[in-house]
Amino acid sequence: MTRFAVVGVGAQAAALARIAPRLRGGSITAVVEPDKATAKRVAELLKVSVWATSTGELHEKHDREFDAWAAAMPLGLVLAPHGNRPFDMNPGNGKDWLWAHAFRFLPSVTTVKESLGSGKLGAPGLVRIHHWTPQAARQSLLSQLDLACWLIDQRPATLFARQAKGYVQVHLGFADDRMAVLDCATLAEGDEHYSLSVIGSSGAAYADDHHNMQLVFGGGHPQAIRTLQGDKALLAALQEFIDATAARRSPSCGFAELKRALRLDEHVEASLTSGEAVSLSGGES
Amino acid sequence: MKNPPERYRCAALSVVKHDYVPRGVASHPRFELVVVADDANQPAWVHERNQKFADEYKVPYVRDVERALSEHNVQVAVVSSQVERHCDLSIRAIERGVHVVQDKPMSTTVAECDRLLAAIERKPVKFLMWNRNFLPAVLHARELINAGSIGKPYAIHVDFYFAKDAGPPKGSRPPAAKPMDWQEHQIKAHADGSDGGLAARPMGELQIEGIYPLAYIRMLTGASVRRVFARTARHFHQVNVDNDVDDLGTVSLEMDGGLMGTLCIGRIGKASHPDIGEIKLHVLGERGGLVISEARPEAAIYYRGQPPAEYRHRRLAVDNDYLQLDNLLAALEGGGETILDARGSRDICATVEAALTSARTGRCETVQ
Repeated sequence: MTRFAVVGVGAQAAALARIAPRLRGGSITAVVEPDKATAKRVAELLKVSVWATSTGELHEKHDREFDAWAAAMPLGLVLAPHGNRPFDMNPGNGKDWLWAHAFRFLPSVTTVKESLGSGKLGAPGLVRIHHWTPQAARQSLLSQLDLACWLIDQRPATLFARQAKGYVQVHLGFADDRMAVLDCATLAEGDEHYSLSVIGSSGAAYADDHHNMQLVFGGGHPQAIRTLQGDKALLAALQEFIDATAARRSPSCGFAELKRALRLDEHVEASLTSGEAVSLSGGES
Repeated sequence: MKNPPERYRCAALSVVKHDYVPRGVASHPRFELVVVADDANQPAWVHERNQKFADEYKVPYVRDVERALSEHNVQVAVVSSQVERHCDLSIRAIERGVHVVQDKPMSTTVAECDRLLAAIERKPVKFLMWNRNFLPAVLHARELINAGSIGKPYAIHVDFYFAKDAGPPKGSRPPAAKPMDWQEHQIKAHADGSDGGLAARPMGELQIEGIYPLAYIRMLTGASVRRVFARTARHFHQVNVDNDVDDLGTVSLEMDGGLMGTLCIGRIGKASHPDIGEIKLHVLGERGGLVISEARPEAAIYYRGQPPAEYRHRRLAVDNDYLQLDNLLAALEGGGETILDARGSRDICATVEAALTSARTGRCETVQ
């Protein structure tokens, strides 16, 4: 049984409470929140008795009551074994991390990946992603860079990026003339828009929020409101970590993938600064 | 224009490719097809197609372009020949003071486009490049942008995937098979209308279809493309591999006024979409964003025994042909230019040329 200590997950507490009973071979046993009142509230919501206001305090007082971390970080949720603290970002400890950014485990995205993996779509030629969100565009970009590499199953060889305030577009070139085009934008407050297309040599997949909109009529023009994919992504991420731990294998999206995305982001910055395309020598990111 | 004619007399100069262009012109009540013409030295299959079209419209077919233009008092020439002859036929009409409606692309070389521009400078006539800018969804996008719904646009993206085949899939023929001849393939492709690249010299998808999405961008933003970064691939079709021309391309665009964008385009194969393809516009502005499906409005029809080749979704209320000709009329009789004139078409050709260069060099390229 993998027992999770959840750190700084206040915004996701309700979702975690819903999925906790569905975890196979895992449970949530401890909460860390910097604010005492929040820590108590989240612990109550998750029906756990152990809470602390710092990871140090948790180590000190409840070190044997959890086996793994599930920490909300700026780059997404990171799951790690007890001894490998994700907040330290120490590469030496990153081997068994799971970088659980939502898009890797979103049902729409995993459906596309499964179709690719089964060979139904043939060789991927183009990955096209649009992500518009109330959050910072560059924050989303890390996840999308990871997805592009994951779906193409390669590291890029060239990269060209442009940006404006609250906006970035990245053009990736891979070996065998494969390509990816990403645009991430910060929208005004409100819902987000996500569209993923993968064009393969014998088929294509479209996971496009445009198709997931429902109309609400209330006078004037109707509102278009997304039907969301529920808690499936979060459940799948935690379950993947539990299963990987039990099978003594590396999780599906770990520190190597995070490092790759971070280095690609550095190349994005280089392209933005120079205004030119960047060659990633030897396909290394 | 003082005393405009009741109907403009039109000549179809070669109808070997997209006959929907002269058909579109002829369907407008202010335009009348009076003759089909072509050069006498064209091959038999060209004459055969021209004659068939002339017979259908009950007009003469004349194997002498200049004689047809002169003897039939032609005012508008409609050019839908092999691609390498587009500009030449148009220029010959322009030099006689005849206005031109031309099939796309303008040309595969900027030099030819510049030659046509020079002809128009010497003999100012109106030029309309056939386009899709008057599709309902594209007009709707323009209306929303012009109304300020999203504020001033700063980025525009067009994903333009045609779900059509182009002969056998890549890698499906025996290694020892003779490379597929481009023109031979295009001549056969006329049967299902996928002969947009009909030319002696092979052309990739950016050259064949790129003008459509680039024309959307131009109309919706009013901006010219200044610099590009592109990648291309021969990913789907053997004929593209054998002739070393792209069937998949992606282009990052830098435009006037700091506007940015992308174009993703491909002839992705019939299996890759239930209808003609996925064509979407994404526009970002200072106050919001637009997501537009180019195919709307549409209706869906399904029935038992439906042939696989029949499209399930049918576009509705498409007035693109009529509105283009109305636009031409406005230019002819009121002054001003058409929605996609010679200068705009030439700039689009230059954008495509720069993109192909970028794909070869791996560097950003300036649009000439």
